[in-house]
Amino acid sequence: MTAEIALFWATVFLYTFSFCLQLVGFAARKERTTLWGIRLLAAALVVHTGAGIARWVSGGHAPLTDRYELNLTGTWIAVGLFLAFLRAGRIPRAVGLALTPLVFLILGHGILEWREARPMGPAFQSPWLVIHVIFAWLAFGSYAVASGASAFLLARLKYPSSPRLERLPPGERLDDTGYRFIVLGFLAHAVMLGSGAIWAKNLWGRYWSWDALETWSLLSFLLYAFYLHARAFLGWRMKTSAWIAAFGLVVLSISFWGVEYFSPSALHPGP
Amino acid sequence: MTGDTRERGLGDPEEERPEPPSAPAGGRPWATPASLVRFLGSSTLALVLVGVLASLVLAGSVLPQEGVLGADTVEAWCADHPVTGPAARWLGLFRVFRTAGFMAVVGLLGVNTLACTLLRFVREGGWAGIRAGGTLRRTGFYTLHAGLVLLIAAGFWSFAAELDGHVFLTEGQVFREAHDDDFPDLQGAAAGRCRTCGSGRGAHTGYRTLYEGPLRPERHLGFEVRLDRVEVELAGGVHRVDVASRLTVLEDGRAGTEGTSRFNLPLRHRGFSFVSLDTGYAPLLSFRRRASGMPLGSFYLTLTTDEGPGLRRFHDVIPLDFLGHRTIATLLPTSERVDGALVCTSEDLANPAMVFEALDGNGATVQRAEALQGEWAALDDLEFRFDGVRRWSSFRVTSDDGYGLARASLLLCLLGMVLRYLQDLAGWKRDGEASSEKGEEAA
Repeated sequence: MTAEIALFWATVFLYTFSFCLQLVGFAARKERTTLWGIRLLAAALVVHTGAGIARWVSGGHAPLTDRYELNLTGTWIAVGLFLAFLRAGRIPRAVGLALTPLVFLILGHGILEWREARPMGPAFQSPWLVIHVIFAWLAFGSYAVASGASAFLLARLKYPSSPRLERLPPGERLDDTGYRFIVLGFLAHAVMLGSGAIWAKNLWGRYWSWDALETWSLLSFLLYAFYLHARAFLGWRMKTSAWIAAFGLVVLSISFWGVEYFSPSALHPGP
Repeated sequence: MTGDTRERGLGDPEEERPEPPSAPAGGRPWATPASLVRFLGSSTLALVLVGVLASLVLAGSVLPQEGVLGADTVEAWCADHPVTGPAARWLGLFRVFRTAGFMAVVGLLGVNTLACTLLRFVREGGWAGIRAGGTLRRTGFYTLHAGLVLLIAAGFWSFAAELDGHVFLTEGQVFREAHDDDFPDLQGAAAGRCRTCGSGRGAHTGYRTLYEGPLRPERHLGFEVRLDRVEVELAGGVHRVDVASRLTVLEDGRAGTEGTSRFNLPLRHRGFSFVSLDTGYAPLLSFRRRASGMPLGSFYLTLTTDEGPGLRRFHDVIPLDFLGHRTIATLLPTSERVDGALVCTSEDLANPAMVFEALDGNGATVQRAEALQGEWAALDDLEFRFDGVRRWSSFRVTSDDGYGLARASLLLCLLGMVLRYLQDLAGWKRDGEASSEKGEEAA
């Protein structure tokens, strides 16, 4: 087994163990257990970094070109984002309960597409690749955190008397957290679309080709634009906006992973 | 929290006065110019348009599109879906993004955005209103929506005035625009006028496929392009790390500028771009009667490049109707004999060989012949000789005057978004610090 594979599986194991600790801590109301779950998450991120570096070394380029690499990098960005915001006190710790299983599901999807690292092909040799991919994952990570906060908000609203859910932050705070992460994701999404258009002009000769992946990305962008407009001009908050945020992640997930199943794109492979 | 977020929650309704009704009570929206403008700028219309747009975009992403996958793919899909296929075709859903209906929805969305922005500008007191309060947020709003209007306009400009052609060139070949009337011996030469130059010399040709916007100014390239050579750099004999197509621009038949087209770095000349799409091999094949040795002809066979998990496969059907079987020619750029059969070991052109396979109706191989360069291979009553190899490159030839505006408007939109939401995100920092002081949840 190579170092790259060993580090990958160590990462997955640590994320799984972290999730278990967080879940037990939340269910049993044991603050120390939850704290150890978060610490293990941070340790997993360190090992995750090692897996990324190992892939970088074996391929000779940043891990941004094939599906395994994109999922590896994307989940690294999502966990890093969560821990950074947690450290700064901007996000409820409980969101980790929603994020961690999502991370190892994405990693699991990525390992199914694993192949030996290859030199970077000429199509990827553009500075726009780095901008496009990083902001794509920043957008997904932000939307995922927002969806996690929205899911908890919906749970609180549905079961207002539940003693376990009392430990979650207040509904207003979850709503605000969801909104702010959607704003962040929306900005990153816009950079992703713009950088992708400029890259596409140089690579394919057109800045927009209505390719399936592009189209679904635009669909999810429109959905989040609707969320922001509904909040600003219609006053939709709490339950209604939480449902839109949750649905938005489904649409975005389809654009990242689902499009290939019903509309294989001639141009644009996804993560 | 400061600024606009002090008196209300994040993202709360921004209107300080309720939006006026879009139509007089009981009347039609277009009853007066003012009510028409209010209707065109209404949130309701925006929601409807975005909903319709999203539906059309969804259909366009699920159904095969002719412009992306080709008419053959669409026909095959319709054959597999005998009920929904004709209905989708009648609705124009196989060319969703080029239908008048789609254009109308996008255009109306642009009008709606513009009207909404202008109405709000007037309602909030114009420039004085911006200076009065929430300057950053309001400036961001107007910048963002102005950018969106310009982006939609740029999209229309691109659609209406672009040239988008597809060209295949073999090394040494020259691309020149021509007209159907230039080839009077070819069957199917189109009559009529060339839409680009207005001449009565038949349709504009020379491209494998060509799209010209309906409002494209009448002009031809005015120059020719020769593909001199294609240089492919491989890592480990397998993985492409660089593909460079060396081109010479010919002005009035004389060699002028030399340039290179690479992935991400197209050749640009006089407002036209030659964008590299793919490259492959075109072996030179001669063929003769096996019994008499009578030569029948020779041709360059442009091989399709198939990507796979390992080495690429370069192959295609030999387009000779009089062959007894469907015959596939495969090039092995570097070959070795393993267990009596030639196999490909690298994509470098080191020891090229051709493999010819005659297939029966079920796709099973009934005959197989191999030939190294300069050798003859026999199939049925014919013999093929592999005389050499050239590379081909395919290019997208584009001219898009709307791109500059599109790029500028993308930047404008991004700037607008940052200005609009900066205070919301800045307020987050202050909320976070307040929470930390109160000892609420932290890492």
